[in-house]
Amino acid sequence: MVLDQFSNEKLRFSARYPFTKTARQLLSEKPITIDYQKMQFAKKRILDSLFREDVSVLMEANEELYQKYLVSYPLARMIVSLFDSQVRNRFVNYEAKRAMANIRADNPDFINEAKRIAKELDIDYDGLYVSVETYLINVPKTDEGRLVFQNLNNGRILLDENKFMSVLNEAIRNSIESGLPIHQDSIPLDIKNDILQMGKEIEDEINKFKEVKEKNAVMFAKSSGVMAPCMAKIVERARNGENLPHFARVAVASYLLKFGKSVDEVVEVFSNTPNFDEKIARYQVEFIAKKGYSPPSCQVMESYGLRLPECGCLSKGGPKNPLHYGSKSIFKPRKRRSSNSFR
Amino acid sequence: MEEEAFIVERFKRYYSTHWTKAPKQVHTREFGFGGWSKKIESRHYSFSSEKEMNAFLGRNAPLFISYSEAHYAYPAARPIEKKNWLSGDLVFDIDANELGMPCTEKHKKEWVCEMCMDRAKECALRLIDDFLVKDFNVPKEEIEVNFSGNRGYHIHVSTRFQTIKGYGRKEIADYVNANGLDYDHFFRQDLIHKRIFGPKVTDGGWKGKLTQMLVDGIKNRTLERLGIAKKTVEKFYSRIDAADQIANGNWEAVYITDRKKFFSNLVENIKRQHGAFVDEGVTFDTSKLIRMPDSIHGETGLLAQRIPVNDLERYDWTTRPVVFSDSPFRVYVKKSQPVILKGQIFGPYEDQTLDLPEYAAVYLICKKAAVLAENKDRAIAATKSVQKEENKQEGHSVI
Ligand SMILES: [Zn+2]
Repeated sequence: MVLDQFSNEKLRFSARYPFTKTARQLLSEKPITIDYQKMQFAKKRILDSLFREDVSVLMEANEELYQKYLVSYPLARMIVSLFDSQVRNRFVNYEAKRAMANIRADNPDFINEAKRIAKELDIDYDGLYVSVETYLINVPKTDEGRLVFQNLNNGRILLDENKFMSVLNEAIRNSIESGLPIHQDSIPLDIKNDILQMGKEIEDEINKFKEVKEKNAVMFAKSSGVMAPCMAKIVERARNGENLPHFARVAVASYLLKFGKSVDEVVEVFSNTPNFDEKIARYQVEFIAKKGYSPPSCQVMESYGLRLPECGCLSKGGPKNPLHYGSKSIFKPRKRRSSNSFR
Repeated sequence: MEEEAFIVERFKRYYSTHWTKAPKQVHTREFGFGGWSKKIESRHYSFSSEKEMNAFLGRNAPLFISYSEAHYAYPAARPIEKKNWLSGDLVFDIDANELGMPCTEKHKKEWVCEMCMDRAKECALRLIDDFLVKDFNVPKEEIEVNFSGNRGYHIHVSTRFQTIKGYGRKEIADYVNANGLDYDHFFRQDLIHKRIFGPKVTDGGWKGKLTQMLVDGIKNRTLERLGIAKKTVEKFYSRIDAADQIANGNWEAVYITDRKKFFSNLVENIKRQHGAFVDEGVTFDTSKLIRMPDSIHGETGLLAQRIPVNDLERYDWTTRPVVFSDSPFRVYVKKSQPVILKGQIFGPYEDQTLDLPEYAAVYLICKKAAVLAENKDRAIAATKSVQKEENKQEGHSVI
């Protein structure tokens, strides 16, 4: 079948950006039919996300290849839902990276493509402004992205091209992540067996991926001694590929450095996080090391929702800074709080 | 009669004779209740309607009633992940004892006075007018305010910003509190010409606000109020076009020895004078339970009264939220700070037995500063045994 130019363009767009409304609409027009090739492609999507750091872009292709790209996306989502959040996050991050690469690749007019995607993700960017609500739903988790530094007025934020691209990047990630994990009951019956089958097929490789990560984590923990639980939790979240708030990244990096970790070891902790760029991460960690920043106090950790009760901090005699965790003071008997109330 | 029973009886009488307005879309909210010893004793409750909620309140008369700012698909499910978060109101909590007021040290955090409560109202008005309306473009009629029932004010926006997650909400709280305004993000250095570009009055957000405040200070000759040292102030005043230059981003027009230090000092002062002082935890925690407006606060017996947003400026916390009667009750007060209720000052009292109107008796009993006169001896004995144990513990820790 030869598609007319219009629907071919739509198909190409959907294959490159399978998380958009256009793609969803194309997919819903007829039931998903699967074949060996599409399943293999879905498998490749997942394994690439686990084992590859670089992404390949999709430029011009024939209809068949576009179809494969498009249909394998929802299949991969169903398959990846059979695994835990570490694997899923890896997949989400990689797919977002692929989409961003597609936008930029060999495209002098990338900003219009970006705007088109933005529109499909309900981002109301008019070339200058975005509503503060949209911004906060897709707020870039960087220092520059913080609301206090934005030109906010009358419910709108002024965005230059760069800032807009960071907002779009978040929006793409949110869109890929939303709805995951897909519950097994929601997988169409006629393909459910194939999906489960594929889950089994890649289990070994998933385990291989997890073993490597696990080994790194264990080695890290062994050489760490007693880490404050709140910081250990952030390390775990970073390893799980979570999109950590900027504050949490700085907090844990400064903690680990003071704790005696090397810049290399700290950079490695972040290697799973979204938009990980070793060069940038290294620069930032080195910057923190050079400045000698101390980790935030437990009080400040609390205000960011990062404090854990296990640390026993903020109570009388407990640590006031995560660095003090593990020092003997926590075991001192707690004094009863004196007050003028009856009990 | 025990104090707990005395209080519960009064709350029950109130709830069974008053209809309490439920939060919007009550069937999607989680409720939590507290009693004599804990503000939230049990949670994961839900009601299908306002009627059902009122029936529950009349029957059980909880001393503390909180509901989720979140809307859930299954509000009663547990643990929290199973509730399926759909959206949530944007909520701000301004507490009189967290404003860094000098009076707080004097009367301690358990108590309030007119000074810190006025300040809390000022912060609430600032939050509404300077930030929510002006910067965030929230129509005033969409903003709901209530007295917290104890030490401050709660501000709710239940129309927009509903799907913003915790991270974005934290950004809002930081914005209204002026947290983290740092030099490096406000000034840019042109490396070739060695020129420094600062914020302008036409910039949006804090860049514009902060510049405007400095420019106004120059024009009105009030820079000292921003905590700027006298010597530096003179420099600003002596250059005739200083205000215009800075308004346009040329902060180099006035020579300042250490610009970074000057800026961080300026920021600290502006934060203190113009920040909204909201409790960040309440705003960003999307599964938080918050006091239900128009319920009675179990630590004061006062109504967490809704206040029409345009009436907030005139709202008088010292006369309004009393719900109990004037009938006298004999109580024994161990120790209390002065309290203003219905425009009248009660106390300070110490080791005193006296007759108080029901609402004042309830207030002091709820604050655990008083007991019914008949229980005086038992209360004194209990205090002594607490003190004894404290002494014993101190002794241990010395060894
Ligand atoms: Zn006070």
